[in-house]
Formats: sequence, structure tokens, C-alpha cells
Amino acid sequence: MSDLARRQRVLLKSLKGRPLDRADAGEEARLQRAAACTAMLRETMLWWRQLGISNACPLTVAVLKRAGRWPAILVSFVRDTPGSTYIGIQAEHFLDYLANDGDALTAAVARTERALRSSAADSRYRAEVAWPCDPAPVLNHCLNGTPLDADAGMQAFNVRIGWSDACSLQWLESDPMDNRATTA
Amino acid sequence: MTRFAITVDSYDTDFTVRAVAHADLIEITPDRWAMPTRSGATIDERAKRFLAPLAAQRPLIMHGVGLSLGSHDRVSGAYLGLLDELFADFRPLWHSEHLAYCDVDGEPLGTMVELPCDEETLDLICPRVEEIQDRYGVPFLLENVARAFPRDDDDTYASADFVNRVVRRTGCGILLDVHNLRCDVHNFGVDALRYMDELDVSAVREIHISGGTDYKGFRLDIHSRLVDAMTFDLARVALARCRNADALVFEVLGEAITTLGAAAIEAEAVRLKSLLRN
Repeated sequence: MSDLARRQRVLLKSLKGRPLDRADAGEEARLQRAAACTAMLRETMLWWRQLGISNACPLTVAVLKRAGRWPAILVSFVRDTPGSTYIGIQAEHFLDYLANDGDALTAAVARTERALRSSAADSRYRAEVAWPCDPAPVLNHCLNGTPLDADAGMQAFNVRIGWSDACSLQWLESDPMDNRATTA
Repeated sequence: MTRFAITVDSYDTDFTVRAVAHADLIEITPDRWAMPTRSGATIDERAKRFLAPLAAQRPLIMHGVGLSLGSHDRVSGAYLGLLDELFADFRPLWHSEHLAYCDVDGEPLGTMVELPCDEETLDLICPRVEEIQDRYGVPFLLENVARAFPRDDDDTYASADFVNRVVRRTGCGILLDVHNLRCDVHNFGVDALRYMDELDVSAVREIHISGGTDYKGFRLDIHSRLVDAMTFDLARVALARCRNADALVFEVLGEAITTLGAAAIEAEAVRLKSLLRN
């Protein structure tokens, strides 16, 4: 491996918070000698990422902020994924990253936001996303900052996403005996 | 004669009208007008519709951020694809990129980092520069980035000498960014006047000026503030020395239109343009 290749690969690992190999020790020492610069570069990189993702994925980021998870998720997302130069792709990577999150509400919001992006790009796109609670107060919180009770209700809903005359969300309580439909 | 230019990288019509009123040229960043595809990126059709009337009013110049000229493995094919599209539709007077890298093994760093100033790097980037010049047939300029790290003991050449060597080997031009230089002064004690003494100023075709911010003891190049006094003075010196500079470009991010306001940016453009009258 050339010196330049090693230098660039070690910097990539360091900025993204990935483990270094024993063979990286020399370059790691170089970065540690300029630890403040490395830290600032990483902070700058994370700042641009958070800006781009916050703008592109406002619903999911709002839910993460509410749960106090946004900074940690940003760090793990950067560590675990390659990212993209293009914010549109990066946003989709981010939403896919959270689509199977351990928190069912976060996963539902991420899947919904991903489906909305797909729907906006393709008028034929249709999706249905299972929610663990009523989506209305959650989305209202994400979009308008209205307070959200800790217990948003235990009733499961399915949210249908797609275009009719306009892009719409339709949510249905999952109980087939009570298919209350709401459209936003 | 040095002309004045402003960055336009958003769909803000009000700002664009103001920019056209004051600018002789418009600088665009190809990456900012791209939309993702599964295989990379393409220029958004909406962008082409927005840029067409702009290009009819003012010549365009292009300034990339995604080429990654100094990646150890390859330059970005996706970025070259964007340039191909834009060159087909809008023949820019020239284009430019950073003397840096932002991808490693095809993965974005999420930031831009300077290159070692040595023979290995020269041998890597010079053929790439020549290939790009052959591909597009208009001048290609390389910009000094704000350093992320102090100068390396292993560097064979001083920063300006390294740029000069690239120019001599390839015939490319230089884009001198005075705010990046101002960051290097603040962050690493670089002597800006000495840098300009050492630089082949006859090859400088474009000068960038922008506003940054101070954060945790560092000066950061964020293109979303008004220009501070030191940067303004550096631009004055650069313009006096770089007699072949075709353009002074006020770099401003689209996001700054919201935070600074279009009127404030317009007023700043008028102030910066006054540098050309002195």
C-alpha cells in the first residue's frame, strides 16, 4: 500500500470513528500529534452531515431529538455507513439505517419519511407502514413542535402513502373492525 | 481586466436577480445542482431550466467540490459525469477544483483535506489534471484549500512551490482563495504574504473571497458570513499582485441567503466589487 493510500484510509477510519488496525499505528500517531485538528475536522464533518440530514429528514430527526438520541445516532450512522456526496442518497441511507430501529416509533417515522421521499419522486409509488401508535400527534409534533404525550397510545395503525390527486398520508387503525381512516 | 462574480447555488430567484445585477460572471458548483441516481448523480432537469436563462445573461464558470483530485485510487467518475452534462448545455469559460481529496476508496470523507506536497502526489495528480484539460478543452484551475493539519515534516515542497510545480507540469491555472489563506494564517501561522511571494501569481486566473467563522480557536471556511477585514485586505493584496486574474468571486452558500439575507449579501457584493476599482 502506498503512503498516500494508507494516510487517506487511516484518516477516513479516524474521522468516521472506526477501529484502526495495528498496521495503522504510524499514521495514527501522526493524527494524534495533531489531535485538536483531527477533532475539529471530525466535528466539522459531523456538523455538515447533521445539517444535510436535518434538512432532508426533518420528521425522523425530530423524533430522535425528542428521545435524546440524535447526536448518538448521527455518530453511529457515520461510523456504520459509507454516506454519500449527494444529500438525496445520504438521506435515503439514513432512513434505511433507521427502518429497523429497536424503537418501533423511530422505525415507523423513518419508514414513513422514506416512503414520502419515494412517493415524491414517483407518482406510482405506494407504500403501507405499520405504526405502533396514532401517527397524528407524532407527525404534528415533528412538523409543528406541538407537545407529545409520553404515551401516544398503544393502538397500532397502518399508514398508507401515495398519490391520488396529491401526495397523501392515510392512516387506518389496524383493528379491521374499526377502520377509522384519516387523511393528511 | 478582472471581472466580478458571485456564486449562485440555490433556486432563490430573488437572490439570483440581485446577483446578476452586480456580477459580470456567475459561478456555479456542479455538485449543488445534482440529483442522485442509483449509479451516481445527474444534473437535475429543474436545474437546467433554472440555469439556462442565467447562462443567457452572464457567462458561467464552474467550481467543483466533488472531483477528489488527490484520492489515492481515482477521481470521482460521478463528478465528471456532472461536468459532462453541464459542458454540453452551458459552455463555461473555465472550471476549477480543489487541490485536495474528499473520497477514499470511493467513500466520501464528508470534508476536504489537503494533499502531501511531495513527488508521489505530483505523479498522481498531474496526469489527472492533464486528462481533465484534454477532456474539456477550457482552462482548468486548482484552488488552495484551508489546511486541516499543520504542514507535514515529510513534505518535500512548500505549499506554494507545490502548486507551482503542478502548474509547470500541466499548464493548469491557479485559483487563489484568500479566505482559505486567512484560515491558514489563523490556524497554523502561515505567512500569507510569503505564500503569495512564492506563488507563481502569473498563473492565478481567479481569486475567491468569502466569509468564515471562529470556532473553538479555529478559523473555519464556511462561506456563510460577511467578509472580515483581514480577508478583505488579503484580497486587495492578491488583486494587486495577480495581474492575470480574470475574476474575483464572492463565494456564498445558498443556505446563507436565509441567515444573512439577500439584501446583506447584495450590499457585501457591492463592497467587494469596489476592490476592483482600486
